[in-house]
Amino acid sequence: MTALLEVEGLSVVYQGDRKTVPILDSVSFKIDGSETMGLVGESGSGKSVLLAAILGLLPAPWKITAGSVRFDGQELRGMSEAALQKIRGGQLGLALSNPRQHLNPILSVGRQIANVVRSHEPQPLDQALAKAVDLLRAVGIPDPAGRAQAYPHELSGGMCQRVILALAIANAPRLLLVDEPTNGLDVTISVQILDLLRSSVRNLGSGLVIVSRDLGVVAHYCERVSVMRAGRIIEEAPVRSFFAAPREEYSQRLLRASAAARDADLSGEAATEGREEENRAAPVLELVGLVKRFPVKGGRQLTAVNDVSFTIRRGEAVALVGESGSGKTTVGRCILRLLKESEGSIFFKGKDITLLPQQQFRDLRSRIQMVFQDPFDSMDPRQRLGDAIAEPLRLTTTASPAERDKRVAELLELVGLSTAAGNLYPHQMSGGELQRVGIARAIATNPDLVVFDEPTSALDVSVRADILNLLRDLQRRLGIAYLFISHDLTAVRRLCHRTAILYLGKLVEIGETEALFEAPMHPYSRALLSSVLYPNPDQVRSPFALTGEIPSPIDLPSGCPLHTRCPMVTEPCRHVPPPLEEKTPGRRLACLNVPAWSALAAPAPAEPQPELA
Amino acid sequence: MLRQFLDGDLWRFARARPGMLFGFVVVVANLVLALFGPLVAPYPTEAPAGASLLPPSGQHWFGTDVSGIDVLSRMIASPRIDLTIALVSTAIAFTAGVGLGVISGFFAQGERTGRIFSAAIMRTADIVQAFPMFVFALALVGLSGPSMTNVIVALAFLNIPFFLRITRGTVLQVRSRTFVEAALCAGNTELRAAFAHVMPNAIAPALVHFSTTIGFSILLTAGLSFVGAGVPPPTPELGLMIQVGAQNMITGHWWTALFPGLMLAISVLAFSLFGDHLRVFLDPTNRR
Repeated sequence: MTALLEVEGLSVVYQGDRKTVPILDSVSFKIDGSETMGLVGESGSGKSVLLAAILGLLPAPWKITAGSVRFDGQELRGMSEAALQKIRGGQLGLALSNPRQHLNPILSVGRQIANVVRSHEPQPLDQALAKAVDLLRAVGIPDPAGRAQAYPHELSGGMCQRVILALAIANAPRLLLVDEPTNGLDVTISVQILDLLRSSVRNLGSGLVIVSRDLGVVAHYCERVSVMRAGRIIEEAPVRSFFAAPREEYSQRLLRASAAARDADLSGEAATEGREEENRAAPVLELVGLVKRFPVKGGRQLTAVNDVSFTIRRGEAVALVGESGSGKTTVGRCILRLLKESEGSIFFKGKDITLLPQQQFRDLRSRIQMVFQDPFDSMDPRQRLGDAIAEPLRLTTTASPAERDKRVAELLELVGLSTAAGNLYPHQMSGGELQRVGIARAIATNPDLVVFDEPTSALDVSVRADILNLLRDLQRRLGIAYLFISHDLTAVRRLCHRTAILYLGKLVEIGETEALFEAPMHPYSRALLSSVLYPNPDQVRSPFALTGEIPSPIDLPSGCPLHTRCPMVTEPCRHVPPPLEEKTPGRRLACLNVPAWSALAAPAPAEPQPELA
Repeated sequence: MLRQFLDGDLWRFARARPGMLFGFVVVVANLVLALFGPLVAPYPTEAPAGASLLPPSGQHWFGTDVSGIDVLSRMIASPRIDLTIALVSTAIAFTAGVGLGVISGFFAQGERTGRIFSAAIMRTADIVQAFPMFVFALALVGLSGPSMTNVIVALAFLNIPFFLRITRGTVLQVRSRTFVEAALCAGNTELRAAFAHVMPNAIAPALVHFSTTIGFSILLTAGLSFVGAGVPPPTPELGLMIQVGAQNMITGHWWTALFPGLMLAISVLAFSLFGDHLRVFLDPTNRR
């Protein structure tokens, strides 16, 4: 049998004013009608260009120079635009990443789906709209008839991704191409989308190509893997044999980089070492009942952080974990005084910094520092990197210019960069290198506490691991306390002593990282941890899953914030806000239905003193 | 140095765009004339060199005006006045406009006092702009008498709101990027962060507007002279020449106003074209 899609020797170049850059270098692959293939590669490896080239959607400066694309035996290259249009969105479905961008903001989603249906099979609008409602129901959107009237901006990211999927399967394609289906989605939503993707492809009996950077996604949802690097497919293998033993050295590196957390040696090391003294150490940072509300149009309020209290001791790494909208970043910004809290206190070494005037807090800047999420966005594009690192020294310490230069060179070396890097500008560096500069800047003044706001989420997988290793190394050596804000649970497990989990601005569970990951007790923690897809096709996922969407933080649900999605919900949950209680030694959580410590749970490491005075 | 320039990106870019090349040549010519014009003019620029209203000839290429002054000589000398007024007034407007723009943009979403201050700046700009530009300049010059300084002040005042708005817009965008927060964490005061980190990243559009504004300032200077509110005669200034010449045009002496008029039109066009293309050049997303 011939393959459904056959790409052979496809080469693409980018024609600039100055020079022509090769983007794809004779890429070939085949896919059968009922197969699921994963296309993995880091950003810049040419995955998205490959998709566009297959569909004949490459815009002007890119050009196909050689090769062929055959779909169902037909050559797509050189086919007329009209004929291509019949195939695209018909037999060949496409779902792109960044769903909101790819929906038309001025048409209701029902109308958009109806348009796609009609363009391939002319029919009255009513009929097409009815079909659109069916499709929305098929992709699991509650109240499909109502939502069909909604405009894209009225839907959440997860909902938009479902709509994109509905568009892609509208005409029962024989092959579905999906680009980064979980990009920008939270983990608990991601797994819902991926499960939906798999079941709809199974129902249609069609083929599926998932393009992704995430090896976890590929491991769980694909049968075959192709690895792309610098415009070439360098390895192709069935999923199981690939994850068991990748052939290419690059694939091995990629796999190692994202496998990390399950490796016993790594996690074990991180969690326990040197903890005895730290437990007795004085707290560096103490949050007491922190609340942050933002005014929203119409006089309503968005509660981003809702009564959060926890402590970080000297030299301790604490993770703040949660999905988007959980308020974790807001907590970090309040600590750095980039935002002013609405209620509550923040004690830094025993002093309440919420009471300090700006002028006095500036003297403390050298003690608390921050590393930001996007390294490109957090560096002044017109400042040399050396100057950026020296800036906190210049403004908050009395170091002389010569001492500063010496310190900058020292720091650059410490974070694994050459001293020459100090003379470069941000755009001359890669994201990973730039994040190292960001780290150097944060530790320049030997602070007591560094807040990391998702420091690895904008980086590629292989770089991510290096940065995490660096952070762990620095923490050991310098004994700086970390507040590590992240939704990347594998990173947290590798780096942090304790973990606090936030949901809708509320602290739902906090405890020793390893114990918490081994046996999460709060229903939200359990769902969150079981949504992590490790790059291991044999991982058994717990069936414990949340349903539905994260409610809006503007109208917080009464009682427990999770009650709208919780599988363990009981009547009192809807009215009584659960207090944060110590249910086992060293573990506090906010749930009415989890019994206090009994003989059931695994032994957790003892914690001699309660965490909050 | 010339070789370096010819190899440079700007020259490469200009070469492929005739509009920019034209603008570039005229702008440079204007600058050269402003520096050396009065020295190379063949006849005196403020004293008669022959009979009144001589038509263009081999001796007086563009003829002489009603007082017998050589038109070409006055045109050659004119950039020194026109360009000085335009440059100085635009520079003042640029400095004040960008400074205010940075402040009003940076504090637009901050603490309460900052917000009020920012809003006050913008409302003042609204009021200034609510007057028709020309009437406003006329009133200002009319109040304190015609002189070069007054023309400069009037033009500077008029142009501040434009620079202010342009800069404020970009500052609002740049303000939301995280490197501003990073700068605050590094120990910068808000004001320092605004001028040391935000301004350099938000100044490009104002710089481009600079060139366009010079062109229009030349036009406005001439306009003010034309209605009698500009520099006093017999200063060699294009607007003045057009005004005096316009009266002779009716009697058939077309050369006294036409040639200065053409020069004015070409200069304004050139500065605008140059500025427009410069914007494209400076914006890397417009290039490949």
